[in-house]
Amino acid sequence: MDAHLTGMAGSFRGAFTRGPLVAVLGMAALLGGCSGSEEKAGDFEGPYGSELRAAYESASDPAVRAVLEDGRITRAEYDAALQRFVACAADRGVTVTLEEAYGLYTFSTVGDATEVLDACSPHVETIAALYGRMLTNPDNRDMDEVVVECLRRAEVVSRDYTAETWVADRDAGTQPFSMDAPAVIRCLMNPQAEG
Amino acid sequence: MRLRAFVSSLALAGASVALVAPVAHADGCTGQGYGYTNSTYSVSYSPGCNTQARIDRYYGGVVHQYYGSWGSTSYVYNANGYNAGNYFRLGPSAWMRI
Repeated sequence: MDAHLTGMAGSFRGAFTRGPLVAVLGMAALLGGCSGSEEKAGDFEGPYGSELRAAYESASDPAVRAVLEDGRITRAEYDAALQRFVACAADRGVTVTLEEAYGLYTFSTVGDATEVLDACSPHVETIAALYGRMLTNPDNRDMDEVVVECLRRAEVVSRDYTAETWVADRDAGTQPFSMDAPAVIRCLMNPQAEG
Repeated sequence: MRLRAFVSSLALAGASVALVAPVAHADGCTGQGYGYTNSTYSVSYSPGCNTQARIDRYYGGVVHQYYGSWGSTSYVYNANGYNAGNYFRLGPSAWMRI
């Protein structure tokens, strides 16, 4: 089954318990099981429907439009977009090394590659950013609320710690926990991932 | 940089926060963003933006650039070498050092 993210909300907690590879595989399976394969193509419905439609309508890259035209982004399409990005950079002499973390790709280069990556980003950023948002915040809610709920589940903060408190603490640097703690990193990178 | 945003910085408890003015003109962003950084990590967040965090580290005689995933919230971490700068991506070709 081809896992995909659409505008439809879905829950896939519990998929991240045995390392990044298992996490991604579990996430893909769970996503595929709850994201409505019977949904008609191009509906642009659900929490991200308007964003998907806007991205599709504004995209000038045919490859990006082809991905978005059915109103969803599959895991395979996300992977392919990152591979196009890597190939684009390679064509310009820059090696991009991808690394998966909590279901998303981070990457690195050796040497200053800013100009090349900026040139190659239009081929991937729309797809990658929307996929990342739908993965980490499937209901398109206030992200601070989503992060704090994750911090509560991880028992990093108490039940009465609120999103408003988090925003104030974050902006003042007064949060009552280490930003280097693995659970905090996970909640910032992907609040849907289980510890 | 194509964009220049108002920035204020705080330095508390070994970390710093850069509050970024609304960047709705950049790429469909919907609200105020922020960057958060210390010597080993960089976080950027702008609601609705294709933002990214970036951290540059020197080791082996060259700079290594690490980029977080694209999305509203982006986080990147690396402890190799020594810090050469943390960045918050505001939009296409627009990076702000934080």
